[in-house]
Amino acid sequence: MLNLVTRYRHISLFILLLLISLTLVSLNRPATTFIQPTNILERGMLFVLQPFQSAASYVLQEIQRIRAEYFALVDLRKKNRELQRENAILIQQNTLYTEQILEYKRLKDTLVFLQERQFSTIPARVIGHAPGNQDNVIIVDKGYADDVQKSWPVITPDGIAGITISVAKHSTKVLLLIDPNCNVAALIQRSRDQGIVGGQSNDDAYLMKYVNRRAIIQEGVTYQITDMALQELAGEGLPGYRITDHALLRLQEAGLTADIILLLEELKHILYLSQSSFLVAVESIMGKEQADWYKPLLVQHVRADMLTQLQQLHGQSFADEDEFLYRLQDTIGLKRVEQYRDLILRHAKREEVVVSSGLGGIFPKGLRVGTVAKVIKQEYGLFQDIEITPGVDFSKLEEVLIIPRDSEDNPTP
Amino acid sequence: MYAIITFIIFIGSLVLQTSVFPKIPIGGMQPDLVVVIVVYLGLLKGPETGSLSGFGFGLLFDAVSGTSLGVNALAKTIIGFFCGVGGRRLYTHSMFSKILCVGLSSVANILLRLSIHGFTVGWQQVLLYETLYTLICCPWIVLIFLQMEIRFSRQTASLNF
Repeated sequence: MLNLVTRYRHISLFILLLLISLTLVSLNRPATTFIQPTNILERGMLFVLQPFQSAASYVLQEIQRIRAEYFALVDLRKKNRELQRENAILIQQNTLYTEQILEYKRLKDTLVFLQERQFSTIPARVIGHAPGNQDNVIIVDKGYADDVQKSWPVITPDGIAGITISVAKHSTKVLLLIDPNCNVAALIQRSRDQGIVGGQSNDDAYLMKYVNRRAIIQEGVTYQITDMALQELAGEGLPGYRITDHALLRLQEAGLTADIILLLEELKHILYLSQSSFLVAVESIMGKEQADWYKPLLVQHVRADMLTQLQQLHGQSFADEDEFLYRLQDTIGLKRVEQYRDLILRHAKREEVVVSSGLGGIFPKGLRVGTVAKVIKQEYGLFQDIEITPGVDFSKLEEVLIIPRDSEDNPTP
Repeated sequence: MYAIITFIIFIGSLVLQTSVFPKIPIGGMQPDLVVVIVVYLGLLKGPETGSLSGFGFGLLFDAVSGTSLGVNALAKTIIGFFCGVGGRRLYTHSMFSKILCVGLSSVANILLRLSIHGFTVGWQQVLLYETLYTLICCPWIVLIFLQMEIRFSRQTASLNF
């Protein structure tokens, strides 16, 4: 027997091991129960393997983390590129929308101008400029197909721009007023002194010639608080109406009856922020009819607060805006200057405006040409020359209006 | 020395099988690297070494895996024995023949395990993907053993010299 086992050693060993394995299998627990390592072999194997398993798991986790981060970075890069592309498109769109908003504002101003003027015009867009630097010509997108003719005035809401000189089917050449060959009969709006305004090939100034030497013309811009300015400011909502004892006394002196004075005493010492709110209060106590009757007197004498303070600057003229604002600050305070600066400047600004006189038959009367910048008076001669700041900014010309003239009143230029 | 290094390779395979391969499954399956070791040892060293290594490694594998003790021991003992017998009678020195033996042994291993635990739903998928994965990993284990043997033979040659 022993010889047999020794002779077939490998088979014997195999059978032995097989039996041991089968024995172990037959002793197993059901697979459904939670197996806990209770025997020494399992505990030993777990003990031996645990550090290697921890190390391998850690390394694998790091590799996975790096891989994830790398892919995340690649993904981030891709997203970044996409966002940059999207951003570029959005910037383009934003620019386009901004342009459209600006165009809308310009066209709105043009519409307001047309509504005020109430004459017909042909709106046109500037599509080109003359190629030469010395040429003061623009090209617009309307022609004889749109009933445009030669020698028709071209204007903008800011003033006269030029005159049509050459008309094609769908486009027209416009000679700008800054060209020396383009002239308009004009007058100083305030003094009604007349002259001829012509260009000097210079965007910054026209020259008005043949103005009477004796005409007194104010140069440049000045800032003054006039009665008219105060009235306009009050109408625009500058605060300052309060009925004081002093105001009542002035009203009495001005001829207001005692019963009205008595009614006004109810509103004593109340500060009304605007003229309209003050008048509403007056209407409520004395009725609309009487309030309308006494309105000019009341508005004149019941000024208080800022309007009264501004009265202190009445009659003074300031050539410099900064100097005017400095005095204003002294008078009404810094906070109010910051709040009402633009409003006050708009109504206090005084400048000589030059408009078309209507003579010559081309440009209608009353169209703004510009403002007087400088008076050039020689020591001799009958006339003086005036440098005029154009009302139109020719560098930003985008839309113009062509004024049709009557066909019988269409002289050759 | 050979035994120690073989044991180290076995421990390394266990570590890979428990920590690394679960993260990179193929078809949801992991390879059985212990089968590769047992097959190699059986082919190289004969049926005794094959049976003993199969039993020992199988038992340790059972201890780690948490299944019933003796299942893997039984399966790998049988595989080790038959690979040892086959290794003496057939030409198994080329890599291709080793891979073929590993493939057949892996199938046998899985079927033996399933016959004890029961053929669950999707057992074909287990058979296919585990065998495939084991075949992919086989050349690497064999290469490690071959490298070890080359170093040993050099050492032995230098000692004899």
